[in-house]
Amino acid sequence: MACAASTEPSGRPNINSTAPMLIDLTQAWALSSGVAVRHEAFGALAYDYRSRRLSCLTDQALADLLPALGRYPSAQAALDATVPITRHPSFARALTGLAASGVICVDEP
Amino acid sequence: MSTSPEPRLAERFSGGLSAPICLTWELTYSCNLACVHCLSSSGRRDPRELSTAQATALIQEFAALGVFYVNVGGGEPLLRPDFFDLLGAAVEHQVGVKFSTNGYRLDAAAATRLAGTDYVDVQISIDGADAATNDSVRGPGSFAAARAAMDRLACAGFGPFKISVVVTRENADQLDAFDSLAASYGAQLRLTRLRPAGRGADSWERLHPSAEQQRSLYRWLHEHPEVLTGDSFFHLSALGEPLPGLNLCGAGRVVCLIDPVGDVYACPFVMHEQFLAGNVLGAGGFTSVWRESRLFAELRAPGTAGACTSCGAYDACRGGCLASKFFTGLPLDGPDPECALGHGEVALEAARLAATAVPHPGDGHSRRPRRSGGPVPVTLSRRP
Repeated sequence: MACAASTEPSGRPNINSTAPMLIDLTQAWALSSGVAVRHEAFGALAYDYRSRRLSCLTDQALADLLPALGRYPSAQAALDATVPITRHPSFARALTGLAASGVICVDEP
Repeated sequence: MSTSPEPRLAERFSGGLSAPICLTWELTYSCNLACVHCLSSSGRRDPRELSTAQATALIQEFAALGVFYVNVGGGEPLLRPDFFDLLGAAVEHQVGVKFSTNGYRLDAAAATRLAGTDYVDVQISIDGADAATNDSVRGPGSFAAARAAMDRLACAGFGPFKISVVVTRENADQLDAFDSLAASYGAQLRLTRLRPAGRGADSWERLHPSAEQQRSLYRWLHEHPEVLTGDSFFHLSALGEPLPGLNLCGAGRVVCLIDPVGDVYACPFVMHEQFLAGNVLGAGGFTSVWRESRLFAELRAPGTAGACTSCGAYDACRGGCLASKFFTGLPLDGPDPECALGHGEVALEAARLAATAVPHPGDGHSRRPRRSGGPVPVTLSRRP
């Protein structure tokens, strides 16, 4: 039985925060199968049923973007359509983090 | 923008969420064991327990709310004849199930069935790394039964199940042995905190880990970040580097408990009328209890540090566990009875001196002791 927010991390995220290599934004990306997103006042929660990992998205625009990501031919196209250009760099970093933790993946045609 | 916990995340969560992150659902009060620390004082089934139809409707409500998964407990969930029907309904609605069992009813057929089900985690409970330590808490034969269930899950190819241990004074020195046992099955070890709730109210004083054991546990958890805790030991974060997790009492904010008759409590450790928020069978169902109950609104309101105000560690431990304070008679805005910095012992002593009334959880659904093992005396006489 669990207390508080039992996020049960299954290990440390595999992200090298000091030298982030960004994902290829020209590829099509989508929410991974097995990941559910729930909107919250602060953004959203994303739960990965395979890894049992919970991620917090503390930005409403990012929370809106994730479920829609797979509808665009590329991540860049999704950003162009939904996010002001000044925020593209931070969104690219956030998507990179989400790719590293498996929340999003390359959308194979 | 962030995708991982950050310092202010606890603040965001403390105001409450649209639905719980971590919802515990006790399916039945029926249990074949009588563990001395049982949080729900289980034993006898309650005739008012939710029917299959009511329970299925509740699962549909979880799905509509976006509840990712539920922690299913009891009692012993496998004693419900419709357990697998409810599990199937949850899976169908993409509500994950993590359920705790003592293993007695987890036979080969059940193990095979579970191994073939997605979205399900199984936690086998033991409270000692050997039969003597375990059985003194959980009852004779319970260690062997749990090990047999682990063998059957492994044999059925279930994958990494969890071994769930409540840390006590008697097993706190067996952490490496638990770790080895889990490794031998490719299982995950899960450690949780002993609470003075349910029958635990009567065993807590004897069984809660010593201050030295708590410090060892804190170090051990830092050395074993792969061990799951459900954020159980956040009160130990006062000792230095915080343990991974939210380090926040989630009662009514991110967590709640639904008991077998549908009563909703603030957390699994405070089954007491003072923390009863409503019932899922009322108008508006569980959703309205979660979003509108007065109790939960109060728990989500910013609290005060009370007697902990002057303590430099308050930001790390947030005063600890509400339930542990409540059932040991301590003020809710003061230190945890097991405060890692020793403030709890002082508070407990002060409460004893002041003869503070300690709330008792009652006997709940514990089996009544048999009056006598002998024959019932009757008087035979001839019909006049």
